[in-house]
Amino acid sequence: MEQNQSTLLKQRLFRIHISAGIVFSLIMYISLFFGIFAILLPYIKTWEKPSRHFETVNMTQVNYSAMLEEVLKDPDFPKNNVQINLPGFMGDPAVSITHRFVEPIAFNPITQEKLENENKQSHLAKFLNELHYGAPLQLLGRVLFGLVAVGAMLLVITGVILVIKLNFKNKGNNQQALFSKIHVKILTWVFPPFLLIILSGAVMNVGLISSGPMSQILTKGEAKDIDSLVGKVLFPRTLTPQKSNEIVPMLKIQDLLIKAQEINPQLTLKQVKLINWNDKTAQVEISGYNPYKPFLNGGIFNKPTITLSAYTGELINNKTTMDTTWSVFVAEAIFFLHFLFGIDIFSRILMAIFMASCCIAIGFGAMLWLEKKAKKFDQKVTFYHWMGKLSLASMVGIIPATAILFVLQWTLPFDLQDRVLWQQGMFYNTWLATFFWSFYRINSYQASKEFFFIGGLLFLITPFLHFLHIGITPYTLIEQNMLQILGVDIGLLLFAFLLLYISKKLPKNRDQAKIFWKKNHKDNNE
Amino acid sequence: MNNFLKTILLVVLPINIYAHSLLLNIVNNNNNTITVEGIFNTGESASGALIKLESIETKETLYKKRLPDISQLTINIPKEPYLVILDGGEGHQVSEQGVPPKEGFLKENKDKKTELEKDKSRKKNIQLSSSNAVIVSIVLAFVLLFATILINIRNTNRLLKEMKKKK
Amino acid sequence: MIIQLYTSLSTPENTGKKIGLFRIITSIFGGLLVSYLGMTLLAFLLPGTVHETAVVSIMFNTLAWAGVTTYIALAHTKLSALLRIFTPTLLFTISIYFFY
Repeated sequence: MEQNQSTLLKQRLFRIHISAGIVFSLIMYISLFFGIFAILLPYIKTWEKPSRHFETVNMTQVNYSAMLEEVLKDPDFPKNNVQINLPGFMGDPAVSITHRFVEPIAFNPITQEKLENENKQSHLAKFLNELHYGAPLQLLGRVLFGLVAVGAMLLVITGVILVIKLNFKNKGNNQQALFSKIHVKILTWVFPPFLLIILSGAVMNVGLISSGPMSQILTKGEAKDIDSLVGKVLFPRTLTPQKSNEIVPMLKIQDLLIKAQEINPQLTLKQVKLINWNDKTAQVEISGYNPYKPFLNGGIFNKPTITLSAYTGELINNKTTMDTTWSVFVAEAIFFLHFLFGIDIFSRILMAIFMASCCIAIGFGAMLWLEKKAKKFDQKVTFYHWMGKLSLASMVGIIPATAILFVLQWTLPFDLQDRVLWQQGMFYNTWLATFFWSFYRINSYQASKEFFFIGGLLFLITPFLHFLHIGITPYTLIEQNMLQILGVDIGLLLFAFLLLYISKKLPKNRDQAKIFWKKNHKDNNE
Repeated sequence: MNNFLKTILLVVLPINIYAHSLLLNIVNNNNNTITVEGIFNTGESASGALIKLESIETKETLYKKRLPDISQLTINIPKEPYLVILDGGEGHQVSEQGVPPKEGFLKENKDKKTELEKDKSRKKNIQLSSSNAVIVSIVLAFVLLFATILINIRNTNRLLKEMKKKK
Repeated sequence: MIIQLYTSLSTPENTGKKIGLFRIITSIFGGLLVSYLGMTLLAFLLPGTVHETAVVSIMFNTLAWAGVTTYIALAHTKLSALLRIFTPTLLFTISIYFFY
């Protein structure tokens, strides 16, 4: 009886994992795929705008006064709690002067000129991020992606139990065995950061909107929503002094930044908030990120700050990374890997590689299921399965569609009306075209080779189109210290070469594939 | 509405989808003025947010000012029906119908109103259909979808024939 | 009829290769209910004010949902799947009422 119970348990576990995998894998893959671009969002955001093609200067060598005066001259711009995003904040070399309730105004810190903020004409990085969490489909999309994240957690849990209970040997001589090995091995190593990321994703898309009843129960009806329940803990308000209405000269912001660096040299300064500016009670609240304490700060909830008097320069408050409650650390730690605020490029690339390997593992999971189905039709009829074609379009067809976005970024004129709509429209149509092509080509291997090839080609020409449009060369980018922008071009080139290589190496049809995967499996085992 | 339904709605409605929602409080001072306050649901002040009074009929902006540090503004009540809008930027807009003055709103010219409404809806239709990008994308999308269905039928028939031949 | 119902619910299926609509529905919705109540109770039990402990509940709510769904779906019989929903629900509801 115990054996029967154990057999039933294993069968159910497998079945849950497989069914959930088929239901959730496509959207999970899409979310992960665009999530990789979202990891590199700060760099893509700078790369996509012609106005940002200048070097990132040292923040303490910028004269902020002229820029600030110009902004505050506008009677419609709020005068209190103005925020300055320092050069280098989120990879942007510009100085952005903004407020919670207005669009930011960007300046070139070298020339002090106001920049043409191409927010309406260029939306590439943000669009890739929106695709990552289902925003194009509005509320339905966000909830759907959130539910998929919950499904992915279920897959991780059942997957871990399967690995423990079934003790996979990862041996075997066919395609199925290889696909299973790749799927299991990759995810066994990468599942902890993957789980943290999907957990935070699920919280944002689904957890928050469903927390109304919990808030009401916990506060006996006082709090109606999540913000009223945890807002005071996660976003504590700092008390600001009453204005004295005495106008006095302010100290230079760059000098205050130098002072802040002396007070806490560990902090990488990011933003400055001006409180009661031009008044005797004026303060600057300088926030940053402490790279020596990852997972504990820098994201949304725990930002170390140094508050100085803008009139006298004296230290008013020094809120360090550890000056907060344990629940803020919990929240910050959970969201850290998802947002990666303030984190350096190498750590971002590492995370991107982890997530790319998750994409590959999910892809091989889908291929494993399809291979099991295909075996039943071997020698009888060519395998032509709806899930196979849908997966092909969603997982591989997405590559040329994304490549089109990058190509159009530098081919569509910036003064074209509805530029963003044209770009996004072409993206969706290219994706639909790959959907059509997946069904048209009975041979899925041939279709995938074509998709990889076209995607590779498009990504390959993108940097050249970029150089042509801006009128620069890679040498100029190095000379003028625009290494971040050059980095994106190099990244696109490397990605293009990888796609072209895969296109060349992939087998042409199923018969060749059997030999190809078997050969690779043997090579791995040797 | 009973508590059970309220609970379901709380879970289902998108009011909580965005963190930090803006709340708009309007107090009628009974002297033909209103006091408008903007605040976040965390209790944080919304000073700096834009308060607009917009005519319901003509969509004209009757009044516009940013909330000061005390996060409150006292405004004269307009003579025509209006909306009070608290504008906290994209995705953070709250509006409420404004209270009438003591003597009530001025009687509207109904014909002028209908004309204006027709004009407005005509303009809206023109706006939507004048975006070539949207039209082209949607047309292409439908063409591709239909093409996919047709090609699927064609290929399925081919494979069925192949299967019959092998039998 | 009740005995028949009890027998059908308490007899394990012959194979676990099919999950069945019953398990799918009960595990998803039952899992949501149990995890939601459980995490709400957890906020009461953890040391600190509810404003602090609720952070943990909200952060791990969805993970708990996934875990409990798995737990219910893997039940040996349909009856034990139902018990895995109703017993914790009852316990958690009484406990929450006690703390309310």
